[in-house]
Amino acid sequence: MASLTPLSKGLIGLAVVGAMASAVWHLGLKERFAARTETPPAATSTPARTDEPAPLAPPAPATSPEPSTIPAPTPAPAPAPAPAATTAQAAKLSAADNAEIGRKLLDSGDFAQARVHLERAVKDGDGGAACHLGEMTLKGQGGIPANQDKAAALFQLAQSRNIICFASGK
Amino acid sequence: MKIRTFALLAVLSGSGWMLGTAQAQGFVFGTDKPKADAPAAAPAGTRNAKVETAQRLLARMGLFRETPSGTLTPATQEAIRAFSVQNGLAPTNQVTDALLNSIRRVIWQTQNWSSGNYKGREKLVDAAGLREAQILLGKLGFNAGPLDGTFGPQTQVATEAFQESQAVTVDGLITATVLMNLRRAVNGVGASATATVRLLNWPDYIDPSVLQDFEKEHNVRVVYDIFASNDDLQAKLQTGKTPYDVVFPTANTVPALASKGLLGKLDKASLKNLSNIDPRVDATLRAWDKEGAYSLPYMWYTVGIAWNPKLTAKAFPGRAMDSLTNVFDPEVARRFQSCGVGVVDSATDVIPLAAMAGGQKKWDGKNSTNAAAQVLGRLAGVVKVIPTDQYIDALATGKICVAIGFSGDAVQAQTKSHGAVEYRVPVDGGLLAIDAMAVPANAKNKREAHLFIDYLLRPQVIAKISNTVGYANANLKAGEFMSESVKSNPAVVPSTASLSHSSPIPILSEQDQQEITRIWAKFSK
Repeated sequence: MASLTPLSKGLIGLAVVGAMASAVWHLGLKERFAARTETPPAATSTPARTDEPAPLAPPAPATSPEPSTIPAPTPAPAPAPAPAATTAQAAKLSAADNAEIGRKLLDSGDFAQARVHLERAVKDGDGGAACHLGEMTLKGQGGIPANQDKAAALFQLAQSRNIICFASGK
Repeated sequence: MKIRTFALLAVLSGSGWMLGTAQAQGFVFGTDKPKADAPAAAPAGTRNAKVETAQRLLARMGLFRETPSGTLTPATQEAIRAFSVQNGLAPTNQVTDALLNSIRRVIWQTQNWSSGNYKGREKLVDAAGLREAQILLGKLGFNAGPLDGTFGPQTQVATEAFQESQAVTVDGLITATVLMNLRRAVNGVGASATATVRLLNWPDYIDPSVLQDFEKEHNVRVVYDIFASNDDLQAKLQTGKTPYDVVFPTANTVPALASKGLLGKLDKASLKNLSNIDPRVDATLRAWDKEGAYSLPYMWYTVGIAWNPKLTAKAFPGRAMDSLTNVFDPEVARRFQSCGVGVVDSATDVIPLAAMAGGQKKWDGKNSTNAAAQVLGRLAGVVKVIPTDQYIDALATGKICVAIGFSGDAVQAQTKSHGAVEYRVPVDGGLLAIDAMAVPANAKNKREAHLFIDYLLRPQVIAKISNTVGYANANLKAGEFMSESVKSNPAVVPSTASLSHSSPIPILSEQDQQEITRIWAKFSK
């Protein structure tokens, strides 16, 4: 058997260290980080992530709006106030106002609250809100499970109200 | 050395043989004797085919205005009489080969066909393309005469025979579409395939390799024909001589075509890639196809304003060009008269915009046509009407410095002029249009039609087409396959903000259509 050169020894050492780090991460560290964020981690007993990881908004049966702060470098926004209060607020506003507020909240990333206002606006007949709510449904934001058919229905609702929901930069 | 001599001998003997055959057939215009052996695939002496050819040629001369039908209508006889009188020939009521030859001779002598004078959207290909077409025609058994890369009478007759053999529109001109079809007929799967699918689309609206790949993958021969206008499409659907399987109508014509029973409902359940369609574009399509039963989106585009910034800055410094007023306000339009201000010759696209400029933001039938008529009335002599097949070149060469027209044409002008042309949806109103895919009610190959539509729903396939033709598609997943220059071109994919200024191209009632035709005839005189 040939003797190992220093270089090969170094590379093998790196590989071993890397494998150990990977094992440590998947078995322990990842959970420590994930615990700080939205969903309780699924049982990650397998180190290798061969199957498709759950999307940001896991297909939850309940439609209760969870505080959906996304694990991101940006500082986590203040926990959203109880949605129940927002629903009551929204009920007092006109469809157009709800649509406007909803759009602004959407732009600022507050999906949960945006959803409440937009849903109310849609119910009250606003077309633009149906576009935005459709977008959220397409992407699965604000606790809404991603559902293309439901999104399509919302876009068609907007169209029936004479609003074009077009995306740019596809 | 040896191979060269051998090749030389082969070429000499080959051309000698071909010349020999040419002599035997008689140069097409040189003989008055009706030939028993007409060019390879022309139907043997059927009156209908000859009548239709005569009608087509007389229409090209401006003597015949109906759609060529192959029957000897009074209008046809009148046209033949007019032609005979004009050219000092004995009057005749029969369409013989002699008559066809004289018509062709006159056309060749009086119209500039060899340089591509074609009133449509496609021109003849260049010399290299012509030569390749002549070779390919020869391989298919249609003798195109000497392989000299010039568009002569024999090439034209051979091309007509090829088109007749495919049962597509016969015009005898070697356009990019015909060359594409020739290549595929020779190199593609076509001849050996048992199944066929017949497509009918706008010119310059497909990528050739997409058709070739489909043929290979599914072992289905693709026959590809084009139509020049929505009226042309309807006529082709109605005459139904050899039905088409997939057609590409502009969305606002779908309701009328469906109500006339010309379109069949799509079997959407059979389309595996249906979920790739962007639900936003599909929803917008329902502005026209109410239930989405008859059509799916193919490409979408806008009708807005294109301009040459250098030239317009000189004519009217500091002016914001993304406004309808630059063309529709007579005071402003006059400022651009020196460098050329115009609208594309498409009444159904320009008149809704004129109505918007006249204060009718939403199409409202009579109110809109009245508003448009008022606006256009003030522009006589200032704003030019640019034929659809000249729009791209007029902008690209700087003959026109600002004009209302299609985003896709503007993109092509951009490319041709190396970026000297800009395009935007005007802030005070633009039109949003979708070109759709549909299956005619009389389609013979419905299974293959749906196979092809499903194929176009693949993101890589539709992205390839977008990259080639410069239009935006409606596929959710196509983004990663589109070229950066096309994706990021605001003329192809306008921003959401500018799209919010546009409204869907209106559905026009029969009455609207008639009004629009009347107004346009007056304006474009």
